[in-house]
Amino acid sequence: MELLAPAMLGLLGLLVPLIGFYILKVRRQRRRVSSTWLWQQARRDLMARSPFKRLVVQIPLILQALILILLAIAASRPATRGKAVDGDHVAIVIDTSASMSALDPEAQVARIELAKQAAHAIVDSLAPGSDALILDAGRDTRIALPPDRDTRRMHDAVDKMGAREVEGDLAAAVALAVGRIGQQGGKGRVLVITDGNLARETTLQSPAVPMEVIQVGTPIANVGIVRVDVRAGRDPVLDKEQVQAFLSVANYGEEPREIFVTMRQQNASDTLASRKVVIEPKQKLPVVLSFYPAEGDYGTGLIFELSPHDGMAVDDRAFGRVPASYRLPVYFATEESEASPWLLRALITDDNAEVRSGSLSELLARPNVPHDAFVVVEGACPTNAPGADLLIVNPPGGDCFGALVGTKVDKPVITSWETSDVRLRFLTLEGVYLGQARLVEPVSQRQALIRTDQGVIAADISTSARSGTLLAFDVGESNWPLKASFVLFIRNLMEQARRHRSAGFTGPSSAGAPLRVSVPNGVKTVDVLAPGAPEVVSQVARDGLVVIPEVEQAGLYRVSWEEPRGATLWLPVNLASDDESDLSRRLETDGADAEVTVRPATEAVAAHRDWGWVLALVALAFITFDVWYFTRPTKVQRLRPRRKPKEAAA
Amino acid sequence: MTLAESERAQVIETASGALREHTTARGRGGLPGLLRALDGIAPRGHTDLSTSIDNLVRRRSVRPGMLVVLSDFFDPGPVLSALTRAVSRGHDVFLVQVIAPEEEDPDFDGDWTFEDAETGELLDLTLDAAAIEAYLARFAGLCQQLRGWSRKHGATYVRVRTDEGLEAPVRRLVGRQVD
Repeated sequence: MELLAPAMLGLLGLLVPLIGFYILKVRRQRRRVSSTWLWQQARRDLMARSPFKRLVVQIPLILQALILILLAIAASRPATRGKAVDGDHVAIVIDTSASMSALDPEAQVARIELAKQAAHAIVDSLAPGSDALILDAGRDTRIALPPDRDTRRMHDAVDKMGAREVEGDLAAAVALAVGRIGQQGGKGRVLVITDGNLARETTLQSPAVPMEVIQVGTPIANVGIVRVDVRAGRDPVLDKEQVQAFLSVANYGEEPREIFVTMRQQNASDTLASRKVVIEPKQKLPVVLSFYPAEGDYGTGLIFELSPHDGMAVDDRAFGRVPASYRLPVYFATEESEASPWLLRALITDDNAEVRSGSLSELLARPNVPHDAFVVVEGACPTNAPGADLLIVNPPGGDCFGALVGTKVDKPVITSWETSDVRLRFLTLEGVYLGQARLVEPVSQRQALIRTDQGVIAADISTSARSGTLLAFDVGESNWPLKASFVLFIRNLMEQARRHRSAGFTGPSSAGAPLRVSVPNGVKTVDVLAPGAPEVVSQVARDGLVVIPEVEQAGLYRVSWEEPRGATLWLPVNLASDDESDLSRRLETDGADAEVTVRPATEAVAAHRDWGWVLALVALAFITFDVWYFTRPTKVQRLRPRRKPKEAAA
Repeated sequence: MTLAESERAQVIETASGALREHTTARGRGGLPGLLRALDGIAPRGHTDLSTSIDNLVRRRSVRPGMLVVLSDFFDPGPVLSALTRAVSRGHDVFLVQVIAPEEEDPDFDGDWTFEDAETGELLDLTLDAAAIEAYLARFAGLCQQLRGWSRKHGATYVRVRTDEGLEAPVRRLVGRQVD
């Protein structure tokens, strides 16, 4: 038994005025009687000289004191534990992060199942009339059930929950719960069910609303892949292109673990590479696996796996993609009868580039131009040029990717260039003289790259889908090819294309975060097939970019499109989270100064059954009795003249 | 009825321990004088009933006869002892207890200050159910004492309420009843 509002015991102070009422004199009416002799003998209270009289224990006094005591105790809300969750509005926040998928060694069920059991118990213990808000706390918080009083719907909402392969953000869910509960009147309460593996520095504090954390699961000695990176490299011994996968494997247990790390391609059972490693307790071990890719391997998915598996399966696997070839494909197309030799020479000076040249019509008709190729077009500005990074040289007048190419001017003098741009880095254009050039009006002046005394002659024409550069003059009509800065400029462009290519179609992707995919400019829609999903989901592409919001599962996502040129990408999504994989952490339990109560799920939820109403009812009964006592008719046998039966008859 | 039988009748009033004897009446002609004496009686002062009865019966001039005592008997003195002595001297004692209705059935409650009509003494009382119960118990005890004494000494005891007609009490008196 405990008092939820002990301050209300202060009402007992009202006993003082109550007793005062009984010992203070009262104003009396005066009445003349024949004799006070009998009254004197029967009197209950006689007037005394002092302002107080002796306290006589009377039934009304006892009753009223009892009523006051009962009401004071009732107001202080005496409650017993373990019967009912009190609160008019209860928010149940269930952690559905990846660590909740771990198998509990004691219960032999996943932590999320333990959490759901605890949630069901809470729902069953809700006080009549209470409503519950149920939140699904993954990386993003979802309202599994808006405030509802129907316990059947609460149980259904809890049953539908499952662990997601994402890093959780419990603080956001708690903030939402506290905000929602705080907006409502009455007594609110927030119950957080988690395993204590909080991915972010979460301070569970709720000064406004009482909060309790129910911790499920026991510590687990887990080993998991916490980082993965796949790159294209070159074997220095064999001078052969090589795919290198860098993994970081962590052991969060107290004992050393012997682990096999393997790498295989998707849809293949053969292992590409494997290593046996021993990881010391509480240590991370870098593991490098490599293989020599064949022509058809580029862009395919890779699966890394730890064996034997342990309690948390999601971090025993990681996914990657065979990066594009180390050699940069370069396509040089010209509208002229002959390609500019200066440009071609500058391009082929890069040993790690595969330069192909031809007419523009050939380029546009070629179906197998890689999406990440560096394309150089001379004498034209085709908006549907394939490939990734683009260099347009000496285009005709008109619109070119938003920039307006104007008339030719003679002998413009270069006055400045954008030295902060990576394409013009480490070079100088001093001493470069142009015979002719077209003036360019870029979308904004910030896109101007080279300025002359007559206007801009080079501009950035990048779009959201690809990086582009416009040179509005024929390099053959200048002395620039004779300068080192020209080669540097072309090299800078190729290095930028190489960086874009190595980054792939999307950056490092974590489960739970939206997946941004760069696609060719003409693509309108893409089909996305999530791992294990039965059917594809169409997503709209806009300006060469697709955003896939629902990525809550680690694995290889297939993104494909048909128009304008069909292609398929495999995009790896990983959990790779130190915080989620470390299953040995626990939240601190009850501290004296803790604002939030933390207790294991094995203990009863701090549910209270409030007994105040019972005491209030007893007090009401006493009040009724007191009223009756004061207003009852006097049950005394009245004295009547006695008559003998005979005389009465007479 | 006494005068009709040509018996002597005398009204004696007592107040503050003193006796005031009115003229003895005899025969039907004495009735007006007796009635005037009764009309002249007014309540005043304090009565010591036991002393007054003793004083009366000790007189040699007083021959034993019918002694009718009209009082409320709200007297802390040894009234019954005095009456016993009257009986021993040969008096035929009739006790007529005259009471007000509210003395038999108090119909007021709350906080009161009672003023004794004889002594002027003030008494503060809170008349709740318990107080009235206690008073009525005392009152019943007094009546029981008078009733018991009357039965024991062959006396007559009649209790008369002031809101009651005279006929019934007189009938009971003549019938020598003990109420």
